Amino acid sequence: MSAQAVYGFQPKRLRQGALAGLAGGVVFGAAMLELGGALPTIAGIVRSDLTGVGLLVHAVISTVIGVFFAEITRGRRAGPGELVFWGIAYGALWWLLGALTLLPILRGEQPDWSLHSVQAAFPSLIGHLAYGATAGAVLGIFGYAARAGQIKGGALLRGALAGVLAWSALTLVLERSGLLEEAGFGGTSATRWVIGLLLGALAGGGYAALYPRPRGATGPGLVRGLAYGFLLWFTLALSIVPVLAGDGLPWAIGAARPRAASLPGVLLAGVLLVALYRWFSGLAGTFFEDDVSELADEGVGSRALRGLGRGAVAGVTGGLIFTIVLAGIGGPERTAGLMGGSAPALGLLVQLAIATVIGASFGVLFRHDGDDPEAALGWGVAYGLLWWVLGGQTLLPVLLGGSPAWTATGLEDGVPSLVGYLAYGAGLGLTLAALERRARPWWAASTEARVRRAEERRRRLAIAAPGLWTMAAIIVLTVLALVAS
Amino acid sequence: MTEAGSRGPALLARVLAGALAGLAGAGALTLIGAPQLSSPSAAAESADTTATALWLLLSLVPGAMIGALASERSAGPAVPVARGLLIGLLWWIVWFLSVAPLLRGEAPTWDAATVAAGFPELIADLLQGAAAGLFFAAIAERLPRASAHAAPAGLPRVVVLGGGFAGIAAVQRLERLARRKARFDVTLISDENYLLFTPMLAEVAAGSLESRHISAPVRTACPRTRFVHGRARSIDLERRAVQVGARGRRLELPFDHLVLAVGSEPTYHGLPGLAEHALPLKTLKNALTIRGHVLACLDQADLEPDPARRRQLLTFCAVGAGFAGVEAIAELRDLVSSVLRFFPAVGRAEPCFVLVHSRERILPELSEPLAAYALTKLRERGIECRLGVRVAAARADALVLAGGEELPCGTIVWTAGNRPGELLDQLELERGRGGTLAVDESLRVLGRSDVWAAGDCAAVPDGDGGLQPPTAQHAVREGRAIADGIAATLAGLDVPPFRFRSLGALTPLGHRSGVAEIRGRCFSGALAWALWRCIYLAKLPGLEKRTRVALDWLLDLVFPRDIVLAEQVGSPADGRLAPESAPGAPRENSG
Repeated sequence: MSAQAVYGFQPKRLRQGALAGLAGGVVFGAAMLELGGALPTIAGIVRSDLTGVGLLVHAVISTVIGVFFAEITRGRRAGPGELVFWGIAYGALWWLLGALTLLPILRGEQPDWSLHSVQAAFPSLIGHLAYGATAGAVLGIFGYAARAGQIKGGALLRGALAGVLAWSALTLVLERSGLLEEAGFGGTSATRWVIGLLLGALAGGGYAALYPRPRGATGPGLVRGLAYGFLLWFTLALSIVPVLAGDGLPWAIGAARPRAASLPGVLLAGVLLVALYRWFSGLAGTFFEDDVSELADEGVGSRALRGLGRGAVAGVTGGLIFTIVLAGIGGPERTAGLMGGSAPALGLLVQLAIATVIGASFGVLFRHDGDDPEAALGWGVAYGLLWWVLGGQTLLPVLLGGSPAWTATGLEDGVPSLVGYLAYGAGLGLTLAALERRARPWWAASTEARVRRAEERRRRLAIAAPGLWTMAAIIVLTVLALVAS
Repeated sequence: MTEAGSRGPALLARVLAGALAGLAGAGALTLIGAPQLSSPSAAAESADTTATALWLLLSLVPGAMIGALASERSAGPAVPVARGLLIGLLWWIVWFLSVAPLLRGEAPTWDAATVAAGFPELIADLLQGAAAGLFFAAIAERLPRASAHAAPAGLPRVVVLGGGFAGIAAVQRLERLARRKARFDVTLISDENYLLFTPMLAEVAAGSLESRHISAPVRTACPRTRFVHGRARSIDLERRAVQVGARGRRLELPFDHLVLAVGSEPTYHGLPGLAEHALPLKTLKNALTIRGHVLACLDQADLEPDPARRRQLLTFCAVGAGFAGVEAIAELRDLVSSVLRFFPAVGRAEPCFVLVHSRERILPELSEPLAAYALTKLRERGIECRLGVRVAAARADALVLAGGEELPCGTIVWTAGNRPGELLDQLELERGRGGTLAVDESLRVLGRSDVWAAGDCAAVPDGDGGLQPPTAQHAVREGRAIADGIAATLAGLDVPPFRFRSLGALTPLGHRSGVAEIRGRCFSGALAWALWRCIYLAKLPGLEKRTRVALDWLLDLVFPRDIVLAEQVGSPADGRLAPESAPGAPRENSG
């Protein structure tokens, strides 16, 4: 691709962006028609209150910002998966900027960012996320058209299998926790399992279509799973499942809040799906990959131990930050329960030990992508969020003899620890970055070829990763908006 | 090695630009005039103007963070905006949820109620971060960029000759120093592309370790160094350049500092027949040749009906009773003993092992009691130790001792003499003992400020009037000291004298026995053998090699030694040896 083609004016790309934006607008618009009430508000921009005018204005805005989206992702050579996540992040940004800020101003009103206002605009948030995901997917499809033949049946099959297994695990946990009805997964057992299998296969196949060849380290893959889980939540659990069940779109905060019970589970199902898919693909690659250059470039033993050590040190640093938060919210007594005690000192020790172990896992899972402070911070925060869902809201309550704290109330009670996990992740990431840079400075390469390899790795990181880190921020924002009261 | 360039000023510029962008982002939001911005963050109870001023002032911090985290490669607004959103969220947690309550004299609670009350600030911080990212993207295009991969031109050129312990240690230290701002253009030249862990070489000769498991590739050991797999042909000290032959090409490598760590090669002191019939033990190839030769002797003895000829074939000699000779004869005995069952025509009492040494005591590196213990142990195991005996010559079928006595044997392992390689002969530099290069206490070759020497090829003063022994632990320290010395010289600092006291010495005596002397404490028997295995396993370069050697040892407990003869070894009776593989290289038996 010539420099002119990359940086110059590309009418084709703009057309694609307009179509992608329009497609996203159609999805969002259909949802607004179903929900009612929002389109006249949009029509207020042109001093009208007609639904049809609102729909037209919405379509125009969708198309224009779709063009912007195509423009900012041009030249990044992002794959369809990256485009979908960038699209969701883009949608969330437009919710903040458009729905919460510019729309009131254009209608002559003062922007209102209070919780009440944010929760009132919750349907708009989900709509914007759906818009972004659709626009990203359509742009991704245009990319596929240009690079035909990338999706293979084997990948779809592996994805579908991973999806079915992950969704089955989710259904099982929800069933055992008595959360099926609250999460909106009710119905007879047979229906539930049939729909579950279909949705699982759809989710897994969808992921395989987005990422036909899972590359890179495992850690970023898990974060991608978390982001994909969020996508599944607002598309399946919050949209398709209730519509199939005849409940309509439960996007209004009052209807969505109870369905928060499905959010942690679906997030974890996304992580499990991606982990299984990567594992299946790894197995398939090991046994059936003809081209050895497509296999991992080094054995896991090469750097895993050093990554483990650095991660553990970083985990202690992050754990100290977490301990400050934990001590502030009276968490040590609860954590001490894991060892059958209640003394705060014991709780702090247990917490520090857990933080060290999680840090060590971070060091191993992100050992290829942790030497850049920006990347390490982004991955750290996302990993902290993952462990809030997995550890704070799931494993800890279960190990203490209860059931996963997945309900809206449980999530609301877990907000202080969410802050702690995010702070932990940030401290963990930045410390690991400092250690990694000291041991393995990417810039101090010996040859041009090595420099090019390092640059290529960093370029891949630059394309995919920031969208995922932003997804972590969006998930946090959504959780807070959903459960705070 | 490439240079990171002027990263400091570039980082400062990014931080300042980020702070400015943060201010611009906050200013833009203030202009929008959202009601929440009139009472932002901690300043809820302050007057509107003061609160807005504080908001603007505080916006410098997340902005600066956005700039600090930006990398050189960022292009376009997407990444900075994404970064801004993330920083906005973190800033809200740090400032609004944590620091601001503390400043108000309240304990932070981070609970849902506080979060609910802080939603305006959360949205404001997210938008301010995104806007700051957008502004930063616009400014970043005009910022100076650090030359991340600038060509190494102008860097001091360090050429290291030799990929042994000293050379690799020097290069690894230089790489380490390079991470701490000292920059060099380092080239390592070695005719082997691996670092050989010589303390375990005898075990390779005995077939208990796989040959590749005791060597580490230079390219992975020194990943940031330019490596030339070739042989240095000549050194021009006047022009400060090294001529290298590599894969049929001749290269000339100029240097500002030259490190000579070429090690040593066997010398036969001009004794007739030894160069043709003795097997040295210095390289992996030597070790494999010895193993193949011993197995070939057993093969031939298995078919040989003549008792005298059988005795000659089954007599294995080692000349020299330093560490290498003692280990070699002990390991050969282990090898023969463990594989003898596969040669049914050879009786258990037939193999004979002889250790020939010119002095009255073996292992001069160890204290007297340990040497005595080792001698007793070897003799208990049926190894004949001929002390105070000099070798006069060698034939294909016998070792000739001084005084004319002939010792019929099929295998002669030579460990009784080393000298620096031929490359150094051409240099007009001052010499130390045995033709080694004389160096001062800072490891500089006498008379040169830009040539350094370490390891077996250097006579390194120990500060007490003697010389440092030519062992691996000394070579490693000397290599590191040279790297530090070069860095100090380039920085205009004095080079401290090299001082190192031996940590100790250990050697195995064959099957689960050994001797060790660590910091003056003596160990012998199984404990010393276990210490030797643990310590040297830990010193092997890389986890992978440690794991493989540990597995080799483990498998050795449950499976017999392999007697596969992959190498083509000539009949021991032929006495035909391969021509020199390379100038100065030891002769190999390749049939």
